[in-house]
Amino acid sequence: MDKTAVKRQSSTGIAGVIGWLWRLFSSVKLALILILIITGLALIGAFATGIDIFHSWWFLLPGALLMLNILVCSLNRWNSIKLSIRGGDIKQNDSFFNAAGKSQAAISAIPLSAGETSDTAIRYFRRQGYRVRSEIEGGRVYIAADKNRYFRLATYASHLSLVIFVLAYIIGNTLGFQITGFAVAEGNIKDIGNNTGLTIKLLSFSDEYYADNTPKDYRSQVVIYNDGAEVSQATVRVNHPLTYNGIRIYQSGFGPSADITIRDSSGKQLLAGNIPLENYLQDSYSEARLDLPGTGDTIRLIDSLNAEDSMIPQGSLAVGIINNGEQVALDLIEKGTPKVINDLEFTYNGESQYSVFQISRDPGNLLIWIASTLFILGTMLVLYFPYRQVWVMGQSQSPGKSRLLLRLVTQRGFSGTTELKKMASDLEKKVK
Amino acid sequence: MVGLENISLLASLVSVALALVFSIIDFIARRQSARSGKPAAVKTYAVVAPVPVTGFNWAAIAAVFASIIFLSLTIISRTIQTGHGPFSNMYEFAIAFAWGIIVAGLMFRWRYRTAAILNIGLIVSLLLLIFAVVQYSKPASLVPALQQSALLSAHVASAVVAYGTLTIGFGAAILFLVQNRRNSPWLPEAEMLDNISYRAVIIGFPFLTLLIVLGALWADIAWGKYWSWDPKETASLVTWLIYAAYMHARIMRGWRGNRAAILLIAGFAAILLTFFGNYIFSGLHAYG
Repeated sequence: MDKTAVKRQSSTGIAGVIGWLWRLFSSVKLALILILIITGLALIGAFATGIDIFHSWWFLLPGALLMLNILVCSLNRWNSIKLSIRGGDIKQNDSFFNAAGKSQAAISAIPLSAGETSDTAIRYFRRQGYRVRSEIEGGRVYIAADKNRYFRLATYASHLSLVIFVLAYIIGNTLGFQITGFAVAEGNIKDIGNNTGLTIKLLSFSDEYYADNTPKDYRSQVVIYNDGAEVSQATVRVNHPLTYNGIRIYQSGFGPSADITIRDSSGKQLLAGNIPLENYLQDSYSEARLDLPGTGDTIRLIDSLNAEDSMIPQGSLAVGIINNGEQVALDLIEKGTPKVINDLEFTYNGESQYSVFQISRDPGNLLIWIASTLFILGTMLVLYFPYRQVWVMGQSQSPGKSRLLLRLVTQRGFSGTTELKKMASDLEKKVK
Repeated sequence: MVGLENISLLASLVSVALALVFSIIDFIARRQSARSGKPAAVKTYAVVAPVPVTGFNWAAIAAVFASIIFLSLTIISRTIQTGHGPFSNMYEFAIAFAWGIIVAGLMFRWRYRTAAILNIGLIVSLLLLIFAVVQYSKPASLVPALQQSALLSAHVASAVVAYGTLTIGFGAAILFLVQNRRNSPWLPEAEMLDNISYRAVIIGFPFLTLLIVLGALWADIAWGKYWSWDPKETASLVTWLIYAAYMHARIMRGWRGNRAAILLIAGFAAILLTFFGNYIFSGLHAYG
């Protein structure tokens, strides 16, 4: 438990319950248990990709409890840290210096007076970077030396940053949005929606390959419109997203598209455009399905991904018509030659490409990086500048001789025996 | 250049193996001397073995230095060929990982005057290098997602420091468990081993955090999502959580000794899972 004494609440009534809860949530043991529970669940989640553990109550509850634990512990620590900064009692009694099993040392038979010995000790600790306070009482010199007391505050950075991180993650997920698979064919404009007022137009897409046919670059030339007015024109590439007003657009994928025109028997145009063929069939074909307004038909457009394919040769497109759930026609059309299928005239104008974007807004994004930096900095400061306290008592042994008693107190879990031995041997060399 | 890379890799493998062999011979020789009644020195914090080391000890250290030089040559030659750091496949990173372990091990050996932990590190490195030789892959150009050299190099550099030091922590934890039970005079005292594990984690844990944060930053820039809960990311989080648990276990009375050491062993297992996870998990991170 923390050195600051926890007031014992009465064990009855609401005060008792709150007291018990406070003690529970200020314990390191709870933190350890919660961390291990979350670890176990995460491990299960990594393997069982079918279940979404990470958004389930099983996972969120220990996480929330851990955040509460951090907050209560942080509040609880404040008094102790405040005391460290101020500095505790300088004078300690004899049993403190003789405590068994703790980091303590004694240097006896020093051929100097108690005052001279103590001055040497004070100078030694000051040179080591300690803050040294002393007082004299009853012919004895009491010294309290401490080091890195302000670095104790860094524990707030390391722990509270975790809470900030989780908050930022929640903010991002609830107040932000993310669209994946946002497909736009060349020449087309699409509305981004989500109250952004933005539309995006794909001017062109190009994919580039190395000599060994591995992908080298995917590039989309795009224009962004805000309520119809052009506001940005840029190239979106993998690892080079486009950012506008907090909206980020990432190059995510691409595929083939078909530029077609469909007219009815009277020549009226029912549909014209560059249609992304987003469905993949058996890894060999790409397909699009569109409902034709006013006819009750669903049109299928199918192209082959393989240039050598015999069923759908290069320059051709397969067209299917589905009515009332049944495919009533399936035919092949050639580029540039209009063909009538079931009273509808199809013209295949050519093949093109569509680009797939991932579009997101994450209001919590900056906070994530701030929290991460705070955590790393805070952790390093606490670990690399550990808080140390040394108490020394100098007293006369016999006329002209004195001795020094030392006691080192470190943070929990760290044995200071070696450090104290070194201090003691250093001091011994100085005074003898 | 390819030739230089392959030769240095094999040379480093041989050096690591030799270092282990020399260490073992040194140990056997010292044990023989001890049995034949040579006076045992007083065991203090700094001196580990009751009997002075033999020439084989120096040979072992020389072999370790040689392995670092050869591994560095391998990495440099590979970098010149590919134009990027050792981050694009398992072969490249296995070599970087082994480098990290040996350098960390050497530093801890110098600081704490004990070869035992370095030796455990050498065993792990040897296995990694054998894996690398088997997994050799020709230098290939980077796919678009990986064309973020500065960030990815920083990500992998953090991994090298983190994994290297945490492997040493793992070695110290194993020896701690052994010493707690047997208290052999040939190994460092349990308290020192506990200290060493702690020192290893206080370096390794911040770098482990940095590794994860840089990875998230890269994912944010490349795919717009800093965290997708994909298996490799989750495995790295599991690793991080285990070391976070260790930091808290250390300050608890009941968890200080053996249980904390077991956490370090679990942490190392998690590192291996994260590293080799590409083969087990599917998903965005699955690469060769």
